[in-house]
Formats: sequence, structure tokens, C-alpha cells
Amino acid sequence: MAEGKAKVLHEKEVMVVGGGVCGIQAALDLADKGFQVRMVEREPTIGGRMAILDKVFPTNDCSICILAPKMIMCYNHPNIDVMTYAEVKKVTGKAGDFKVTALKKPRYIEEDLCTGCGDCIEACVLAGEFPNKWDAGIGRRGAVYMPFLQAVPRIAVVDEESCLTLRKEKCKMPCLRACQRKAMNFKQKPAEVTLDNIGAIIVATGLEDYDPSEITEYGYGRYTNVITAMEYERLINASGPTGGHVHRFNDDQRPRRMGFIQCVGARDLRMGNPYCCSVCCMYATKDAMLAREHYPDIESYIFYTDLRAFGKGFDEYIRRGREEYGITYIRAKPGEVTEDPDTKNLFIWYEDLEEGGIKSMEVEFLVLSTAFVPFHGVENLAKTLGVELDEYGFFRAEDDLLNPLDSTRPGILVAGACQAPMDVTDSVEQGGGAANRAAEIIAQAGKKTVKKARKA
Amino acid sequence: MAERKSAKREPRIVAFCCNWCAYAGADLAGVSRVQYAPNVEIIRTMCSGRLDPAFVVRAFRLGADGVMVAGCHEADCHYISGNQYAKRRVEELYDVLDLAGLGRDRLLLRWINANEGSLFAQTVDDFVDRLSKMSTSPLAGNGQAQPPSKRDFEELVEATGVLNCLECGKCTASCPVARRDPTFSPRRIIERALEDLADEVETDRLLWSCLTCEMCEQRCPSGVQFCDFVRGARAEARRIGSLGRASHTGVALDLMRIQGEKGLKQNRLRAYPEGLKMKTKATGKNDYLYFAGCAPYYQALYSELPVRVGEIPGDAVALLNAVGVRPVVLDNERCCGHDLLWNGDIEGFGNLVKLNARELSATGAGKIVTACPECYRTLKLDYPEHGKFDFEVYHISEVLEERLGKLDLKADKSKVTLQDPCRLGRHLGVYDAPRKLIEESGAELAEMARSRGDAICCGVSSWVSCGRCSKAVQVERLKEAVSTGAGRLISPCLKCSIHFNCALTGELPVPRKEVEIEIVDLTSFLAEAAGLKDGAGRTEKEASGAGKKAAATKKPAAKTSAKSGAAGKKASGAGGKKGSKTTVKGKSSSKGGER
Repeated sequence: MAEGKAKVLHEKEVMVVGGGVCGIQAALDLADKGFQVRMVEREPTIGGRMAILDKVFPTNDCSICILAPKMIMCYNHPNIDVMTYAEVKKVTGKAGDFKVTALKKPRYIEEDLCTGCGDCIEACVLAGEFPNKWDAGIGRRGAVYMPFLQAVPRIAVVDEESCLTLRKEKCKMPCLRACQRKAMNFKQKPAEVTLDNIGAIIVATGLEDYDPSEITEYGYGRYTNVITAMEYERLINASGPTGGHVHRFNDDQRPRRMGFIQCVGARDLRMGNPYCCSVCCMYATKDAMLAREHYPDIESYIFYTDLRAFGKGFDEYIRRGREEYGITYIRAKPGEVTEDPDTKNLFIWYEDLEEGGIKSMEVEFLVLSTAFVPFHGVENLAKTLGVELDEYGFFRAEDDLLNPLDSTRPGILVAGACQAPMDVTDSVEQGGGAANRAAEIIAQAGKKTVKKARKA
Repeated sequence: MAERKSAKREPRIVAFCCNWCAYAGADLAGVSRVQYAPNVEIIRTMCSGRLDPAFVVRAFRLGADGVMVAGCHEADCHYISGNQYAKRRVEELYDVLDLAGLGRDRLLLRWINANEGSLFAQTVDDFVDRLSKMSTSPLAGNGQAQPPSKRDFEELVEATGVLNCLECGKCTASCPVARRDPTFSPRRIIERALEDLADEVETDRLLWSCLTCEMCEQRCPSGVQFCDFVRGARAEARRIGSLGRASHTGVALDLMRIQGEKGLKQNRLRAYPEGLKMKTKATGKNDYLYFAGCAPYYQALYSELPVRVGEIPGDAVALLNAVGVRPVVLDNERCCGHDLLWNGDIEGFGNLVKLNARELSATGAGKIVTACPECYRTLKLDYPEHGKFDFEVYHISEVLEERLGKLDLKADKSKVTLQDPCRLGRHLGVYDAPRKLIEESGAELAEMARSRGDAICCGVSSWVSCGRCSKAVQVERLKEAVSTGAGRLISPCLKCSIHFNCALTGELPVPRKEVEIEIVDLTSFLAEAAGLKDGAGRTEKEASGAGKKAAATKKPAAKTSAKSGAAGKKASGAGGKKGSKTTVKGKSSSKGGER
């Protein structure tokens, strides 16, 4: 809050691993309490999952509009040192006194010189050649790119695997000439950073979307017009690759009839995800509402297993969806999706649980409401941190009921969707809670030294 | 049992007589007071054409020593050609009886006119004479099956994960039967099981509609094992007296029950062509036993269809020989019992398990290879659950894939497509091996719209049910096959081949060209691609070293064997007198080329 005014009041620092909305909240809370915070973010930008959403339920606020100020506040806070494009490699010590080694990956761009003007991005010979994962693969990028418009810090990054120069292939390197600040530096090497004054660590590394290709019956990857919820999110996002226009991939026409299949990759024992992803009922409703807001004549059908509208304002949200936005909710888990080879329309086959019999519904676009799964590489991080994972690969809490934010290693806290699937509200709450616990841990560890000092 | 032990009893004969001629002839014999043996029980049919092979098989299963079929003289049939049907069926049954070791002499076909009373009497007397000289049927002690043991319904519900059901209907929406028969819904059956309505589940006709193809299981998010539940419930249904359902009047199932009879001595080796390298005893645990399954029986029973499933065992052994495996084969191998098991006949299945386990263990082999997906599933998953059964079980595609280097496959470059049989695919997850082999053969594999785990079924399972729904499923699948543009549909399962071929006979709901496609068994396709068809390569003693050199020398050898059977036999009989039944110590076995 008190930008530029806060002072460091405590000797020990707190490390926040992950710069999504949960990590940002934890960092801001601690910084405002007078702690020096070291944030380590794996990606080139902070903001995490929320930064690429269009709207958030249950208020339908513009996601980036409410997050961007926090991202900037976090990055600019004098007590917060944000290290992007870096990963934690080693953790030693104990609660109150950790030593952490992080590896800063080379951006091949000098961070203090880059102004984020984008000249190099335009100059890149491979511009638009690669799917941009921040656009769920729909938007495209070059070898040097900015993840999304509102990225923080606003510094471009060169992707090692895409760049011709870094792949030791021939390139005229127009990016070098384009950059007026001479910020491009292909000689950058990974750099180790050691931080030896860490009192507590907050892990807020978030989640990943389930890849539904293995659920072959729904045809994701096989049928043109079957997409995931995150892909839809980027399509309907005004700052997304299509400028907020939802269109089909075969004919660029906008759909008039859309289907949503819920619990894709959640509550499903086949891939070992028996848990409820806790968000897809709500976000599918949101997605269908947004469709209706963009196109008043669009029809949406949501095929659900159970409608789990458990949070504050959630049930009302569903009711609004039904009554004001004309969403049709159908209780059935479709068995199969088939495609009309000519129109590329999709047929959703389901059992009518009320009247009986199998029906098929023709839709022009099908969104699979995919689940949250632990992020790729979570086992390595858990090993580095010395903490346990639960059977699904989420971080295990020391006590789910009474100590839900502590990991299995004292001094390390786990918050947000890395410990269980959760929505923005819950992640923010957990971020705040973890900040408090971190302060507490440092205070407890400090007390012993104070006592000792008195006795002496 | 006591009856069976006694060496001899009066032969018992069941006679099927047509209403217009033979039965009237018998009547005439009666009213004319012609004396004849009282060993015959006559069953009247309107026409000898009414004779279902199942009748004959059932009669034998229930202990008849002989079966007599009698109808109008040829060209005299009251229904023009009914007796010709009878003749064809009896001829099919001759093969079946020979295979089963009962012998064709126990089946008699005679044309007897209404005015030939004495001929009828004489025929019966002669038949009794003939049977008296033979031993009593090994099935003579058969009567009613013992009642199956009781199993708790609640236990079944719990064991099959029914309690996890979310009632989302995904099973029904995935079910190939439910899509055509709106009265069938796996979810509703599960729902009733959840309500503990055991009787309703077990007495429901729809319990027998399930194809047990595991499409629903594969897609169920909650791990409900619907097909296992159905199997268990069918056994329960039989326990409370349900007869279940069976297609083809249950002829296949009765043949299996016959094979569950201890005293039966089959002649299965007659199904193999000459010149194959086989043995009857293993030299060690690493030896493979080739489990042929019911292919030869089906070839006999379904000879009216353009199927060549009878060639599968020979093709399989030829392929195994080509990759250096000299398999153990059994003259008296029993049916694996798959169909009985899925029909709920646990007792019948148990008999076969017992006999097979003993017979297979006695060979000393440690590995089993089979070309039949049903045998594969049953031997691999179900046998170990019904007693001690220490074998590694493989599908032939797996064994061949592992030894691809030794196979010289040269199929023509035409487009083919592949059926994923439910037992091989969804039940056991073998999808890649057949594909790898086809790819390697040089043929171009065009996948159907629904393949691998999403492949739809051939429409019939375990001879339980067949009807409009089956045909609709088959037609849909064949349409998918044709629309790939492939010239041939390769099926790793002989049942799929039979059912698809059956669907193509008679009237079709769609233009024939939309569904007509040549159906080839995978094993036979590979044997052909390897140049092992028509006896080629079988006389070759060094066939284990496949390759261009060996292939080049194969051809002339094949010609000689094809031309003169006797010479071929002599050349091929690597120490064995009885044609294909070669002895253990052959030249190639000492080379250690078994694996």
C-alpha cells in the first residue's frame, strides 16, 4: 500500500516462490509489514494464471484489470525483489534460517536496459512462427517475445529453443539492429543467486491445466472445434489473439450453439484425479455468460456431473446464468463426441437422465472444462524444497484442518492452487494467510535468540 | 457317474424325423408291427431342414450315443429343398464330431419315405448295431448341470465398484447397444443394483443384451466395472434358474460344455496342415505352447460364411516356426471356456479350467501363445483366478512383434484397416503390436474413425445375443471400415470375422457397397505376407532362419509339398508318423532356436 515508504523492519527475509495472484498477495502483505521479500518466478512475467483470464467469477470483473495494479505494485515495491525467469535449485537450513540458491535463466536481454518497446519482437525473422503458451497456443509469437500485453516486468525474452542464433543456425539477427538500447545479449549465461538470510519460504507455484487429449472420446486434438476452457478464455479475451472474437477454427464463423463438458480430467479415476477441481462449474457458467454478452443470440449448454456452487455468491451466479443468460444446464456426462466431417459441427452423445434414452446434441463449438492438475515438474521442486506431495502431486499440508498452510517441512509454507485446486478468492486468502504464518515463524525463530541474548 | 464307469450299456439314439416322410415311415413301421430296436427316441420336425446343428450337439451333450436324422428323399422334399439344408448341416457336423473325438459314425443321415416302414426299422437296427460295436459315448454320464454355487449379490456389487457410481450416464451414452436399443441402459442396471434389487437385475432380459465390450468401463470416470458386474449377475441369474440367452440355439456353448467332459478325446491336430514344426512336450519352461482355441470348430460350423478361420491355427504355427519357435500343440486341448464364463455358466467354465490346467501343465511349457483374443483374455486374466495357473500368456502379435527381425513380411502395398477387438484392446490394452506388424508388412494402414480404445464392437459377444441391434452395430462398424478406402478389414479376432461376415449375408439396411469389404484374420494376413500360405515354407526344415536366402529356397519346396501329398508328408515328417504330429527331438529343436 505505502509504496516507496515502507522500510525493512525485520532482519530476516521471506522468500515467495511463484508470482501468481497468491504469491503477489503474500509478498505485498509481508512487504507492508516491513519484511524484505524475495520473489522467485519461473516464467518471464509475474501474474500467473489469473493474468491470462478474461473475467473472474462470481463478479465478472475483468481479470487483468484487477490484477495488473497488484502486479505493478508488487514489482515496484521497495521491499520486494522480484526475480523472474528463475528457479529455486537448493534449499538448506531450517525454519528461521534458510539458505536458498536460485538459478536465473538467461533472457538474452539485459533487464536494466530493456524498455519493453517491442522493436526486437517485430524485427525477429521468426515472428509469429511459434504458438504462444500464454495464449493457450492460439496466439503466435516469435523467438523473442513478450508473454502478453500486460506482462510485468515489461522486458522481452528470447526463447532458447526457438531462436536461430541460439540454436547455432544462420540468422541475420535483425533484432540486434532493431534494439536502440543495445539490450540484446546472446552471451548471457545462467547465473546462480544465493540468498542466505531467508527466515521462511512461501510456495505458491500454482497449477496447470489438464491436457484432455488422452480422453479420446471427446476428440480434443482430433476435432477442429473442440477446445479447452483456457483456449476459450483467450479467444473471448479482448486482449487475446482474436481480440475477443470467438470463432470456429475451420471456417472463422462465430458459433451460435456451444456445448460445455464439465469435469474433464477431474472426478475421474482413470488418470488418477478423483478430486473435484472446484472451479469448472463456475467458470463454465462465466464462459457461457460472456458468450451471451458478446453475442446475444448464442445458446450454451453445460453438461455437468453435479453443480457445485459452494462459495459466496456462487449459487446466485448459477441462477443468473440460467435466468438472465439463458444457459441450459444438463445433468449428464456425455459418452462420446462425434464430428460431422462436412460442417465440422459436433455431436454430443449423452443419456437423458430424466426421460431416458440416448440423445445427441449438435453444437458448433465445444469447450471442455478441464481440471486443475499439479504443474509440470512439481516433483523436482518438492525434492529441492524437501517437502512432501499428496497422492495427486499437490503439496501436502502439515494438517489440513488446523494447520493448512504449513508444508511438511517447518518454515516452508504452501499456499494457493499448488496445494489443492482453488479459485482466485481462495488463493488470495491463502496468500494473505501464508504471509501471516511466515511473519509468525520468523518471530518464533527470533524469540529464541532474544531469550539467549538476555540470559547472557 | 456310476453309469459311466460301467463298460457298456445299450446305445441310446435320438432321431430327428421329418413330418412328411421319415416320421410317417416310422409310423408305418409301428402300425405294420415291424420289429426294431427300442433304443431310439424320435423327435418330429416339420422338415428335416428344421434341423439345427444345436439339436444334434445338445443330444450328444446330454449323453446320446448316436443321432439319426431322417427326411424325405432328395428331390422329394415337401418344402422343395429343406432336406438339402439338413444334408449340409450334417456334413458340417461330421467335421465337428471328428474334431471332438466322438467320430462321424455316431451321426446318421438317411432319406426314408412314408411308405418305407421296413427301411426305417432296418436303419434303426443297423445303427444300433454300429453303435454297439463302438464304445459308449464319453458324454454318457451327462445330465443336468449341477446348480452353481451361491455368490452374494452384495459382494458382487462391492467387488465391481458399483458403489462408486455417480449416475452420470456416461456408460449408457457410450454403449453401442444402448444407442440402438433405448430400453437398455447400463446406468439403470447399476442404479437397480445400488438399490439392492438383486432379483430385478437377475431376471431382467436386458442383462443378456450387454456385449461386455468394456466401452463403458473404459469411459467410466468412477471405475465401475460394469462388464464384470454383468458377468457376475449372469452367474447369479443362472443360479436362480434363468437359462439366459444364446444365439444359434446355443450350439457353440454346448460344444464347449462337451469339451468340459473328462473322458472326451479330441482330434484337434487334424486341423493343422502338414509340414509344421510342432511338438507335444516342452523341453523347458521357455517353450511356448500354442493354444488354438475353437477356430477349427467354428470353421466347421460356419462353413456357409466366407470365413477361413480354420486356417488360423496352421498359419499361427507357420509364423511361429518362421521366427524360430517350435510350439507345443495339444490334440486334446479344451476350449478356454470364455463364452461359458460370460454366459454365467461358472460350472461349465470350471470344468474346462480344471482340464486345461492339468493338460497344459503336463506339457512342461511355461509360456502360452494364442491367436484368439478371447482365449488370451481368459487364460491371462480369468484362469489364474480359478486356481493355480502359472503361465505367461501372450497374444501372437506380441510374440511376433518381439521377433520382427526374423520375419520377412511382404504384403502388397494396398490399403487395409484394422478392427480392435474388445478382448485384445480394451480388456488387455494390446493396440500397438498388430499395428506394428501391419506397418512392417508393407501394407498401408488406414485407421477407422473410431479406433483403439474407442473402436466399436463386432456386435455379438460370447454367443449370448444376436439380433437387430447386433446387425446395426456391425453395419456401422463396416461402414467405418469401408469409408477408410481400405480394401481389406484385418481382424485379430476370429469371432469379429465371423460376425462381420454374417452381417454381410442377407438383407442390409444400407446399399451393399457402403459396407462390403473383405475381412481377413490378422494371423492369416501375416502368414500370407510372410509367404507361408498354401504350405509354402512349411516343409523347409531351416525355416527358422527367415530372410531373403531362406525365402528364395522356400518356393520350390512348397511346390513339391503341394503337388504330392505323400511325398510332402514324408519330407515334412521330421521324425513323426502322423503327419503334423512331429516328435520332440527334431533337427531344429536341437539348434536351440526355440526363443
